[in-house]
Amino acid sequence: MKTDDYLEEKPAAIDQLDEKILKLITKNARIPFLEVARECGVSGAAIHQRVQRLLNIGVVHGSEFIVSPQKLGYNTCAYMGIYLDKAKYHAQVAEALRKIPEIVECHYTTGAYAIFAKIQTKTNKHLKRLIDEELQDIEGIARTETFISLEMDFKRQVPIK
Amino acid sequence: MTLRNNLDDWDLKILDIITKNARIPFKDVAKEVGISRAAVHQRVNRMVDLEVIVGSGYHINPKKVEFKTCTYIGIFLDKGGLFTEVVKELEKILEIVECHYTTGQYAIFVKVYAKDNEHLKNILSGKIQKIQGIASTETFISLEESFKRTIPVNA
Repeated sequence: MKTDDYLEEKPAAIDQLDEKILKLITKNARIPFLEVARECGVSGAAIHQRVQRLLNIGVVHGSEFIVSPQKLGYNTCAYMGIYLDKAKYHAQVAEALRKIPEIVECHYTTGAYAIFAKIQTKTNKHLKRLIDEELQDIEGIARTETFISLEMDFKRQVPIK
Repeated sequence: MTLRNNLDDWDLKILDIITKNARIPFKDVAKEVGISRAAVHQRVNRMVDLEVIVGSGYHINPKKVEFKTCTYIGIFLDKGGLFTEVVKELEKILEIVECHYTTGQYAIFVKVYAKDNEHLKNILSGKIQKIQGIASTETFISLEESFKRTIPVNA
């Protein structure tokens, strides 16, 4: 293994103008760049260039319209701690979890669980079916512990200074 | 609430595209879906009104803005009734990016981004554990985010 393999990803060099731009475009992806320019007191071309640079160096990766899961019929949000038969199954289990579209997030964690996942399903019944039929079939998973979110109080991005 | 808020196949197709790229010109969406640009505008506006779409934004990569440690924290309360007050206090801590009221052993479950383990420790002992009503916490550090994505729109 090369040493770089376990070095942390370096933070990118971003200045105050970048931060100002980030604050605006992370809240509204379709804001006209001319408006961002006006607010930051630079030219529209400069904003284009800056955003392109932020994309290139990976500070921002893409944009999205944020949908309300409930309005799309996804009424159940759950977190699940997963125990493995053996720790070495981690990669294959993560791969199998990736194939289940209802699993929207998956982490390799310290603590009681080996894997921690976030799941959005339409109903509790849908969640039960997913656990029964899809998760328990994955080779390497010993057992799971489910926490249903009764209410999401807030969700936001990391603070930009 | 009726079947998916009366969204039809066109709506779902549009959503599928714009949830992956918010800055795509509606002209291109129109071409891909096979309806007019005005119709795309109209449908997007309708979904905003219906609150199917609740906003838009660029995704920040936390690692590139120095937030290298991602952690889940389960919170135990002294009393269940303290929930609302505790959430109000948690919301003031900007490093907490998500907060849920959950079933199971924890009362509250949060997701935290910190710059490093020392920063995480400061957030834990200096901010979270100082909140009145919190009995104890359990921390799970994410060593690796295997994946993160949005809900399947066209399923």
